[in-house]
Amino acid sequence: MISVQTRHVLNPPIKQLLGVESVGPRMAEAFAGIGFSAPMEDARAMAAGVALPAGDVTAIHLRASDIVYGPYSKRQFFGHKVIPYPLAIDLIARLRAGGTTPLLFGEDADLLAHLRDEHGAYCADDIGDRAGFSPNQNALFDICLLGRCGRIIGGRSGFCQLGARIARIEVETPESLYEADEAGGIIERHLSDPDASPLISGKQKAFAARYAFVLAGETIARDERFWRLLELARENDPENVFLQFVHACSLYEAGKASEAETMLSDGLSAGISTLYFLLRTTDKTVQWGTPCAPYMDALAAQARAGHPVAALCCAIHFTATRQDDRAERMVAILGRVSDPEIRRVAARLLPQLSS
Amino acid sequence: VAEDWFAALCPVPGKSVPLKYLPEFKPEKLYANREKLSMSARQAAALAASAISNRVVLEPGAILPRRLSRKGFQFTMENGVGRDILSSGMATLSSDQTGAEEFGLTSTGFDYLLDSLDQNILEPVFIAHRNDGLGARLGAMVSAMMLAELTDVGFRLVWPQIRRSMNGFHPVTDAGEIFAGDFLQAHLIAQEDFDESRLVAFDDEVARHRVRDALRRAR
Repeated sequence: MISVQTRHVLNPPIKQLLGVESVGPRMAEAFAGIGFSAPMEDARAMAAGVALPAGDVTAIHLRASDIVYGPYSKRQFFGHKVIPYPLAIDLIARLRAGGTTPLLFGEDADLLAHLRDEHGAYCADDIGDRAGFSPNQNALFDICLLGRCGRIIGGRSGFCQLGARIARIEVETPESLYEADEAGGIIERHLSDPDASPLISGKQKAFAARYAFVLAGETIARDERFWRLLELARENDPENVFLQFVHACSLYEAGKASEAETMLSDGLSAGISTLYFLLRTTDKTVQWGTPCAPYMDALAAQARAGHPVAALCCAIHFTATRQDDRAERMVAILGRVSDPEIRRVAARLLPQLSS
Repeated sequence: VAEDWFAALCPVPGKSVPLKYLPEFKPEKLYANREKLSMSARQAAALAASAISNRVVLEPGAILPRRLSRKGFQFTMENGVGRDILSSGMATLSSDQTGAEEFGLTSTGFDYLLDSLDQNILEPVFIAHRNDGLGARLGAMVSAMMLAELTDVGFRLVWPQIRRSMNGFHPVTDAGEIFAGDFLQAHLIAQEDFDESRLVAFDDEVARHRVRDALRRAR
């Protein structure tokens, strides 16, 4: 025998080959065949036996963690794995109005408490006597509980998808339930609410704004709504260097190159420059490349148009991502720059210029 | 039966078939009878025959019985090739009961096997190998287990430590805390033994077609 990887196997259209109706039960059967440790089996058994809230239960999987609070808050991609809180509030209201019981799954305890106490949803965290459960047990409990729900609304997260496989249903994503424009309006309205609960963190608000970009397929602010959303995102997450970078790219696009240059220059001049590290981030996804990749063609055009800080950012990025020819062209542009401050910063950040 | 099969595994002309019909053959004790001997395609094919017959996943440390069967007939590796395998270091003896020996495939033997055999004769095993959150890992396992079941091949699991940047964001600990011991014994490939460069890519046209055919049959 010889090994192949699941990532290769997932390439062909399995659902097409097997038939959609047959995949769910087969996957549920496979999940049942996993041999968990005794504590994990306890969690699985408890999730199978606990009472769900009364009525027709629809799960809403919010997620949060690394995408809202961690390293992926500094990326545009992966946003589609999370449901932003304004859409969660809207979904809860719609479900309740239709006589359905919303049951929330997620990781942001404060937000979940707010949605439960102020908007009338149920929380999975309140179900089952889970005192003493490890994080692994809690996660498996939630996955199995998701698997008992008749309908699941969630992002494209593996956790949520697995719950749906066990439930033998398909996840309904926000993209399938909202037009981008409609979602953008809902998000903007909630973000502009001066009486928003203090339980909704700044990071959650900034993510909600970013999510509007994700849903609309926008990388920068091009119209008034997205400018307002970008400003709200920056207000609520001022330390987020990715938002600063997006802001600068949006300024270039709007013809405000001088402001953009100042913004990027300030970022690069900081003692420990997080913008420098963002530009040098090389971990990438197949689909989107590195975090900065979707912006670099436009930024390179700004560099060629004579904007030196754009050239410096491009040179840093292209050097780190081994795009040697492009890096060389940007370094050549920098070689013609007369501004001593930019030359000093460039010499500090670019190994090609340091000698 | 043995001749036809072995010819497919190892088309080396002029060599005798090292698989003997068990009722007509007296297996003798196996031992390394030479201090130095090169690995050969014939030795590799004998071990591959055992792996295919006994449905053992080829990996370093794989246990490969001397006895095997094909189309309802019982065979055993002949004494000579068994001793050659031990002499060349392709495998060691994991169990030395005469006639029912089991070989333990060495790491160098595994490399030689992969290099020398026609990969089309080998069967795939589905490996779930994710390094992110619990949901994605279990999801990959479910996919791999389902496909393995449908295509009647093996399933294996690699359970890397969570990426450092993800620490604190995903509740993923050691596989031993999450899975039962017998499940891990049957399926886990230790991270240190897992080398992606030694895998045959599923993108290989032949492998892809084989899985597609198996899935079509399973409908």
